[in-house]
Parts: sequence; C-alpha cells; structure tokens
Amino acid sequence: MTHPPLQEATSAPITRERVADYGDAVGDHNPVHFDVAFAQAAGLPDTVVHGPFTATIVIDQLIAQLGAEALLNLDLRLRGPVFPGDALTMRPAEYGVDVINQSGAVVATGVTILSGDEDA
Amino acid sequence: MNLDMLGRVVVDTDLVVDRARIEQLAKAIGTPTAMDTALRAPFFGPTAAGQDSVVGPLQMDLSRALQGGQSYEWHRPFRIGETVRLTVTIEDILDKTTLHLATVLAEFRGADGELIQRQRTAFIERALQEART
Repeated sequence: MTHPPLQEATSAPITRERVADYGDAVGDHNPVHFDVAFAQAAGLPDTVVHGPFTATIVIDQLIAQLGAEALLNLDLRLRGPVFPGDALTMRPAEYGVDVINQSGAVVATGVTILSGDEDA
Repeated sequence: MNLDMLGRVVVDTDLVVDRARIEQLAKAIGTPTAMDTALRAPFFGPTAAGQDSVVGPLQMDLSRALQGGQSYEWHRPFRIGETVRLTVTIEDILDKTTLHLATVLAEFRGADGELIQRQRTAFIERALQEART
C-alpha cells in the first residue's frame, strides 16, 4: 500500500476546555492537568496537557492525512511539556514525525510504522 | 516509586466500549476524523485508568512524576458496544538513583482473545533527594 507523503500540519490550539473534556472522557483528573497552583508547586509555569492527549492529537493528524487503516505503530517520545493554549505542528521526519509548539520547541518525536512499510 | 511492582498485573478486567465516552473523547479531539481517532486512542489506557490502577500501586508522587512516552501497536479499531479485556502490567522498572523509570504495558483483547491493541506508557519520577534540590 502506498500513502501520500506526510505534510506539515498544525492542530487547533489546545484550550483548557478541551483538556477538561479529555480528562472527563478518560477519567484522569490528576491535578497537574487542571490545578494551576498544584502545577506551580511542582515547578511548572502552568498546568500541563495529558501526555496521551498530545499523543491522541498526533494520531489524529496522521489519520487525517493517511487514513485510519494506514497506521500500524506509533512510538511517541514526549520531550517537553505541552501547555493549554499550545498549537502543535506535526512536521514529517525521516523516522516519522516531529511535534513542535508555536515557539518552535520540539515537544515530541514519533516513530511510525505504516501499512506497506514492511514491504519497503 | 514502588520498585517491587515489577512484573505485577495491576489491572485485569472487562470493559465495554461505551459510545458516550468515545463521543466525549472525540469532542475533545474536535476534528472531522475525531471518531476514527477516538476508536484507536482509547479512553481506558493505563494513564487513563491512572490514579487508582497504576499511580497508586506504583506509589508515584504526581508532583515529581511525568510521562516520558506513549507507544501504540494497532491491530484493529475498537467497536462501539463491544466488551474488551484490558490487562495492565508493570513491564519494567529501572532505578537510576536520581530517577525511577517505569514502563506500563496495556493489552486490549476482544471476546475471543484476539489482540486489538497494545499500549506502552513510560513514566519518569524524580527520586526524592533530587526533587528537594
């Protein structure tokens, strides 16, 4: 199976409302995602977005471009915090994708295996 | 972090893929492909099961812990209304003196035992002495 080449794409900003929706959906109400004072006491400037929500946004960008059936594996390394208000850009890389925030910082790198890769 | 949890199964349960929660997850994603994505990035992963099933047994201090990675191996999407078997295992724990690293494996299987998906979640917890400096 062949796929169109991945294109750079930017997601909509991750609002606090979306973080709340995600937390409710998955049942994860860790205060580091919702309580600014808790996050600041842990040395963070703000609450942080759930790591799996960052992963989910990357998966969604991949599915939007490649189709759901193309994605076999994703190994995502979370390299920096993602905060409410961030808009994530998925940038194609040799091994898969880099995920950068609006300031240009790499917040994640992903190694992908797509259907047809095993035939390459 | 409780280093004695290595190899322990911390979740072994049946779950129903509930339409309402899949739709809630899709709402958070908020794109035209959100439902397809929600059926592949399930709401009941190890981090989602979270504080009760993984954070608790591992005795992670959330003020010193973060998630270092998340990997997925897909075999098929979940089907709304189906019952899946979720098994969560503490697959690996490393004590690095200043850091504790844990890998949590979640396997989702269909009614006939068919593997639907594997997820691995990597947690990093700063050791207490390091956290105080």
